[in-house]
Amino acid sequence: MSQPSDGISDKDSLRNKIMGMGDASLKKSYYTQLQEHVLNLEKSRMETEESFKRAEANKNLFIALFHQASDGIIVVDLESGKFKFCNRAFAEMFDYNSDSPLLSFASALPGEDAENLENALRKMASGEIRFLNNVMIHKNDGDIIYADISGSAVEIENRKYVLAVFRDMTGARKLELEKAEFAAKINQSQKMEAIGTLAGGVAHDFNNIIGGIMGLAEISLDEVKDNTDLRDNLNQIITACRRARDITTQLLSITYKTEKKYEPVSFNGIIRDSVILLKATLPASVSIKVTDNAEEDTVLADHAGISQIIINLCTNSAHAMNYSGDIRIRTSNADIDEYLMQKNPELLLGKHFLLEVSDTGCGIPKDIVDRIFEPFFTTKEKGKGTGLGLSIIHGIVKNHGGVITVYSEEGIGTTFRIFFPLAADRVKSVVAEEYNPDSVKDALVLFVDDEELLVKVGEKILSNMGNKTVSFANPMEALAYFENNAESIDAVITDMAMPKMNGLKLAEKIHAVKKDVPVILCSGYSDELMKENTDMKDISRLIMKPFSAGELAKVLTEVLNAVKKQRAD
Amino acid sequence: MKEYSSIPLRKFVAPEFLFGSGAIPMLSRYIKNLGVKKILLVSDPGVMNAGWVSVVEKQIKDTHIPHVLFTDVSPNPRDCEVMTGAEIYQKESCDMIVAVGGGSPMDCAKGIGIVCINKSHISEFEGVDKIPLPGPPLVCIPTTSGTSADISQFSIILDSVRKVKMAIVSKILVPDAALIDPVTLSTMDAKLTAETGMDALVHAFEAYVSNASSPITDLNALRAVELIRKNLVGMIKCGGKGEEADNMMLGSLLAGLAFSNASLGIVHAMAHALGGFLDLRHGECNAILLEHAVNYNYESAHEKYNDLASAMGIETKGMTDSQIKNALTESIGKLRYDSGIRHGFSALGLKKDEIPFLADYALSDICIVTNPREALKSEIEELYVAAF
Repeated sequence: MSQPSDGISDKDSLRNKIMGMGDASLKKSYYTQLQEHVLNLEKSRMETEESFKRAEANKNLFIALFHQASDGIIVVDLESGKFKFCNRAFAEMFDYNSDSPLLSFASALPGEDAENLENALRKMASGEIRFLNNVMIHKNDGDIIYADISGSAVEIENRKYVLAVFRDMTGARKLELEKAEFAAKINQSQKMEAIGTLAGGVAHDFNNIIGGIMGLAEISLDEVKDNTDLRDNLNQIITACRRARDITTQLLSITYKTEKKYEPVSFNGIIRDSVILLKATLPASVSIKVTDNAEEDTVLADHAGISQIIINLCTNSAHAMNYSGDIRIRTSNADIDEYLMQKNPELLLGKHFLLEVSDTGCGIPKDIVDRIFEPFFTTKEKGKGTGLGLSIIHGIVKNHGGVITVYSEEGIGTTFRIFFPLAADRVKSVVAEEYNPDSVKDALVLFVDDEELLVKVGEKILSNMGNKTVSFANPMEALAYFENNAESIDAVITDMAMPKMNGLKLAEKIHAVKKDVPVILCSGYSDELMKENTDMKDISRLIMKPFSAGELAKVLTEVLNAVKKQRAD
Repeated sequence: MKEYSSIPLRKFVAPEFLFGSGAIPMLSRYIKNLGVKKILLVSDPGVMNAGWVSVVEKQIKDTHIPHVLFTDVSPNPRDCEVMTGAEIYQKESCDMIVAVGGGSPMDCAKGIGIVCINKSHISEFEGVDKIPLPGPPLVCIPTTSGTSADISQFSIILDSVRKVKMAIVSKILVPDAALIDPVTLSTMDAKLTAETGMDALVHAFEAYVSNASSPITDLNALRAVELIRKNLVGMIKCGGKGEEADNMMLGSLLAGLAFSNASLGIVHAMAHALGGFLDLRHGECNAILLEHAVNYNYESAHEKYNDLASAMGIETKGMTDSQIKNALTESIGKLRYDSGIRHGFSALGLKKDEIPFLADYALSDICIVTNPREALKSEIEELYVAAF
């Protein structure tokens, strides 16, 4: 048996332990375990306290979140219908304050809505539905709100509830409707502009063609002095050409692009004149009543255009009423503020003259009301209308910086409202220019147009008047000729749009050679001038294509007389 | 002033015990005072048949505290039985153990308790002071007058693989309370009474001559020897009833208090080897071995053995040591014979060639440590042969 280092043998040590003298010998005692247990209890008490604090903090956080949420949140006991919780947003949605606590739907809403909502929430609790979109809810004060509602069942302390979230969509819905309306208007205005540009382009080409036909017919008329039949035919061609020219002119007016004089005019005066004319042409079964509420009626306008608007609208109305009923014309002043401007993007800020034309006619069907301002859109029988009337009105109104709107109910009638910006100055009397109708003779005219046909027409007209012509299809050649023969040339007639050099440039070059030679500019398309409107100093007169022989003679005579008078002075 | 006392330092540990008539009904008071929630009641089939389990269950039921009964315990309780009991204890969420019966259920209950609390296999605790934490509250109700497991620091468990008895020794094993009522002895048969009675006598003898004995243990041991010597045969004759039984119960208790603190000796070491290897009955082995061990040990503790001879009723005055030794071994042999144990180990199935093997185990048994004489293997073998 080995001896441990302290001199006590293993056996002795074992004996000591058996006697209970070993280091670890202890009578049975639970003290250590008890201590550990107490320590654990204390630890668990502290943990409980800690977790209680955390729970309390969480509770406060969730209460804050609950009330901070912008959506309305409620917890409803479906058995009793009573609210267990309801957050601030929900309370605000239904205008309740702490003085009158919201206890149930029945206390917050009219009976039927309360019942419907409770039923909906019941379905959400059962899982039948999860979400309802744009629910219309009547409040006790009569207001209507729209809400998106979602909900599901929750269990709190062994009792079943439904938790529902109400998102107030009233504002969003309104905004959405306004947006859609706005977008539709923008769309419409863009479409109108596109159609107008197209129509304008077509009209320009037509004018050149009609100009050629009409010019040649007029020349031929002079040459067949005795042939009555032929003369009649030619006169009919000329008449048809004039009508065609009128239509293209109207088409051009759709696109704001016609060259019109805008002067301050008294709108009410034009209405009066137009009504006299209308009363003479419409049957007695159509009555026209005018109510004038406008304090200011001066509008910077084209007299003929405004007159056309009134006549067209009233004629349409008479037709819509099957020539029996009342047409009411009302005028007033309207101040366009930012709100109105937002609703109607085409309007401008400031004071406007408002013209309203109402009838008691058949009205315009909803599905076509958006298209009535399109050119060639008509509901009349084939041959009875061009479909240009309202599009021309639209163009004229646009030209005046105005806006036209239509409100129509089928079977009740239609009202057109037109806003015109008021002019700054009151109307002044306009003095008409007088001129001497006797045509000039024996003048040498330099005629420039890149269209060979029009060059021929020009030459014919001028020679028929008793004048001489030097013609060029190329402006560079014309300028070269003028540089060599400046003294012998009395006047220059030039087209606007030409390759290599336009009419304005040519006029400038000619005046660089000789200053007092009058230059008459012809144009079929006012857009060209809109682009170049910076400088018309070298142009004596502008004549719109297609022009008649008479018109050209008149203009030429006027400019040459003016030069003569200037030289005489 | 003396620099030191000549009395060697000793510790004496005993549980709270109630001795006397009406001890068992006090159980309910203990249960209530401990404030427990569920009880594991450990016993064995023999005790159950004797009716003591239902007596105890009635006491438990009076407290309205639920309990689970575990009775799968053999005469030499096995490790696997301890582990099964521990499993039931934990599964049923028990927090107290009550053991009723002889040494087997009480040793098993001690094992279950420490296994449950320390979460280790029972074999981890073999040896002295190897138990880190005490088991749950344990109240023991002895029904034999011999083992004294109800007050001892011992738990002897059979290692069923190695076939050895593991001695688990620790003051922590001493139960919380023992409720000792001699009435329980009335159901023992003569054989069991003889075996347990002789076991108690060996406890007293070995504790008295133990090299760890003390004046306190000596007092108990000598009185125990007297009581057992005077009452054992009478108790067997009157069937476990009457004054003899009361005295035997007291003798067993006093022997227990002595050996629990002074430990044992070579008889127990050799008996443990036999019990482990051949599953022989503990008391019977002890009874057969005692006189041979006294003969062997006598020279090493002759004064103490002379005291024991007096306690055995021998008038030693004027006798030589050798005469006393012979008289003592003879008186032990006579008591054994009178109590009905009249055979040697050959009758119990021991084979001579197994003896060296048993001697090895006996030498490594914890009880050998406190034997007054340090034994050699050959000497132990000779003792087995002497008792053959």
